[in-house]
Amino acid sequence: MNLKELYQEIILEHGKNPRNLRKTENFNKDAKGHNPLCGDNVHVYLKLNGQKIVEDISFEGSGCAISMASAQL
Amino acid sequence: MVKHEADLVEYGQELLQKNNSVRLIGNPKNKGGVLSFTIEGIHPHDVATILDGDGVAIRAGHHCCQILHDKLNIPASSRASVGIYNTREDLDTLNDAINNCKKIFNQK
Repeated sequence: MNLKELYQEIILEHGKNPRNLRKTENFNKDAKGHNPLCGDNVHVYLKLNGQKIVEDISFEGSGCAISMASAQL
Repeated sequence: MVKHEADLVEYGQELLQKNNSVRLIGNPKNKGGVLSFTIEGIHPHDVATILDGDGVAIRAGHHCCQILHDKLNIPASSRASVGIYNTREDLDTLNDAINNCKKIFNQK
């Protein structure tokens, strides 16, 4: 696989304009993930309403472009 | 050997200091044969992957030094090492590869 295949437009675009990279206000569910080997960090926030429907979802974290684009998607 | 490494590190530091968006980390007296750096807006693991594609092997990550990275408030860093087998041309290649990396990520 060459670099262009790996670093597709979609990954670079998400790196430049991150989606949902923030902390949901009044979240009621959250989960943290940390990979000590590569140093990636992801903290996901969920806000569920009474019917258990997702009202908002977001994340904070750091990692390589591929890891961050995956988290956003 | 020490003289050769010191000359390469000095040359590399001058080169990378001129490169916009490259931030060098650490500048002690009697610096060893390493150049640690970050590039604004590009994760060190992406830097290492892209530099590898250009034939430049560097290390990226914590370098077994998480506490220092926490203190510097950076998630990771890139590190190029020089030895007796390296030349100034190798550092030019490193700088060119960094510029290519910035191009891929659309950095100035």
